[in-house]
Amino acid sequence: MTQSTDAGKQLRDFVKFSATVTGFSEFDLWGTGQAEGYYKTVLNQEGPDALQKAMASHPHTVPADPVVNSIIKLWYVGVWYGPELVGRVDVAAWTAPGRSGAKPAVPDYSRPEGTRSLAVSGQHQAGEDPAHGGQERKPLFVVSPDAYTEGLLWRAIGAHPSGAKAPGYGSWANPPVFED
Amino acid sequence: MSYDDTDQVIFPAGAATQTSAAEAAQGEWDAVVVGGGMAGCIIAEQLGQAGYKVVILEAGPGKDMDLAEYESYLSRFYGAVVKDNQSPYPFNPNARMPRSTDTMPVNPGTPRDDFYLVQEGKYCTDTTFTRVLGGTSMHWEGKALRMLPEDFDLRTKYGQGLNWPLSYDDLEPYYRKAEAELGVAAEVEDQAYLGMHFPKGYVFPMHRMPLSYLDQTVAGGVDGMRVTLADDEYTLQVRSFPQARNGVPNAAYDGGKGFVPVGAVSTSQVEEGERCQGNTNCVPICPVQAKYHSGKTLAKALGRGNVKIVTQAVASKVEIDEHDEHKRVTGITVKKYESLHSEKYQTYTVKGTVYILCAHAIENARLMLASDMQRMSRSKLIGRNLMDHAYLLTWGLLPKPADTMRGTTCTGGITDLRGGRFRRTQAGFGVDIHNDGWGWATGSPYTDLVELVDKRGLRGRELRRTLGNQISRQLLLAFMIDLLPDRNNTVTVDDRYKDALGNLKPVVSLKIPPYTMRGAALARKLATDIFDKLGAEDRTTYDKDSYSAVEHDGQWYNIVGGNHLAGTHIMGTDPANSVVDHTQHSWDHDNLYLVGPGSMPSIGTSNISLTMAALAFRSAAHIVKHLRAAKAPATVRS
Repeated sequence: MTQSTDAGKQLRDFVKFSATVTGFSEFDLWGTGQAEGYYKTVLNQEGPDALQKAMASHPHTVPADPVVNSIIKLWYVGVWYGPELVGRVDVAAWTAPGRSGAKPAVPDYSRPEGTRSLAVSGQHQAGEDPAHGGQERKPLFVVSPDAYTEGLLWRAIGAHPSGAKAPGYGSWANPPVFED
Repeated sequence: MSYDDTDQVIFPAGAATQTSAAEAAQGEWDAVVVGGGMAGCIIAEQLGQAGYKVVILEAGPGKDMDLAEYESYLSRFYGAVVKDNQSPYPFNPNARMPRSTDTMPVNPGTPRDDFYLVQEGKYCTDTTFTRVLGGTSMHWEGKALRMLPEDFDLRTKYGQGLNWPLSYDDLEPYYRKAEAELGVAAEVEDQAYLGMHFPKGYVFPMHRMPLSYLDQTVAGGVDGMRVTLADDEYTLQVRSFPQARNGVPNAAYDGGKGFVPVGAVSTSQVEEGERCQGNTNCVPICPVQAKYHSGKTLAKALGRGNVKIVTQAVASKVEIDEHDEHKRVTGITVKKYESLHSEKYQTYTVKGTVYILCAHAIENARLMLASDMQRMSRSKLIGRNLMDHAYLLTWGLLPKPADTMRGTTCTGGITDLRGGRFRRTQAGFGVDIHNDGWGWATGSPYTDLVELVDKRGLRGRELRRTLGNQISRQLLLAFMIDLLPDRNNTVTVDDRYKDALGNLKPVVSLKIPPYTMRGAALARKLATDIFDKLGAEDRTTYDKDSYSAVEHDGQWYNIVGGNHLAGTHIMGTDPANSVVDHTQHSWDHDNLYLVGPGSMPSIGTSNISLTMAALAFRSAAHIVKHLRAAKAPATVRS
């Protein structure tokens, strides 16, 4: 892929591919408002060739292209887990909202903003906007505050992102309804 | 009042910044309050209402509480890569707070600057408290249970723990005041158990929050279950928890006058803070301020004009006149820092007639110990008897989707084993049914995503369906177990550990005793029985290598913190057995009050905030009497 190809088409291809691997329609994906930000995130982090290779891989190839896994997780929770973090449940545990009592020991990637280890791990701070600006590779960050609330995971489980898009007083007393 | 009958709370614009530390140091205050959290705000509001001139010294960042500021917390939470339970609040090197990611022993001689709470032992607690304006009330879950009558005389009744110098009946009128201030939603018919009683005709300000579908599912198996303990039989049921969040007002409240819920705090009128919408995010932040936080009380106090606040002012030393026969406090020295990005500060000493430390159990003790007050303490109990609830988590997978991840964080639970004669030998506990799935234990739902995508290679619709099916069936039962006062559970200070401003950091040592672990062992067994009844697959695992690992009877458990810190300046009947009396008045310093959960000699199985608030109302009445005696009749001078 080169700079001269049609940027709009590349984005559309990215969304089309993302629909296949996430199980949500292209319409759903565009509706999150995150398509461009995610596309740029993958491009900036992994480069055009790696993205092209990921999109060309068969979705069910074993072992999967780890960039494909990163793309799926990006759509589901708005977090960029770089390919080197594939399978890192311990890292995922600390990026999930909620309390933390019995979670696995804190991996280096997952020290909160402001603490010393952060500088070592080069972690993204919210507001730095790595999707659009920085070229530096970062293994772990939330693309933007909106990316969190637009995570598809919550729709998949018949709920809402913890702390956003609340369903209304008393709605929790009713049985679950899944869209799918 | 807004269109939906919610009382709007206007925070006086500029109030958080208009009083400089220099002005505060020049002023003559009736009362100097350290800490702008729940206890401090209630005290300040009550003394302000009585006409006294009050200044609050707050360590946290110094902005007015307006909606934009509140929403910056929310936005920080959304954007934070590590969403621990302090993630909405800015990192502040000058007034740090513990984070649950800090659970790791700190080796003496090689101080780690990463952590605020210093823990040197093998067992470490992941407990937290929050240091921003509003304190831990910004982050608390909002459960507002009263303590049981038997909790107040545990020693006499069961030969365990310590007695309180006051009874349930002494505190009952103040529980009602606290329930009004915090806006508690509950029904008396649900809460009148194990001896808890209410005056005839009393109703809570708002009706109970509806039980979640998950609660109802669990009730299907639990209601009517029997447990025999110490020859007594207990019948279990799922019960709604009293909660300090806006629900449906009870028209019968206050003799039929009804109740007006208190909305969001801002410097201008906003349409927010109405009824709980089910954001399932009570901890670490309610996005809509349906949950009470002490800004609601603070705004009222500051609106009066005779209550002021100085922010970014870390209380660093309690000044005492040692030659005075009453060892009176002569001032609070604060380090006023310029910003969160600079360690520059100036020192001021703020003076008043009475001083009230409301900085929470750990900070109150830390400040007093850093001020060398243990030397003057007759009981030598400052920083001793540190308590927190010991939480044991158990989790299982239900046979059918049960709507997990919807509701407030917790709407219902099992409270029948909070009290009883079995407490002679083992701890009582409450059980929370967590509407937010296994998150607390495992980091679900993000960990499920990584498992399914990376380890099982799921894609597309299969991934989506499997996630829905798997996560909506998650059931987490959190057992909140009593931890008795023990003088060897401590907060201390150590010259080797200092923060950016040179203030000594708290060093915490907390051990989980066999009494509590016997409760934990029963809890584990009960969870197994409940999962069996529900046809749920037990998925609980404990890690013996974790910093939260505790061994009991050859079994390993993980005991995690409850953020219910208490007991570092316990109340009692005389200066030899306690730090404060039943009014939270220091035995050793005539014009000093220590108000907060640190005064509690035991915590039973109720989340501490409601009791702390009730105690604050009760102490405020005594401080007013103290000021009346110490001064000419009060007048408003603003």
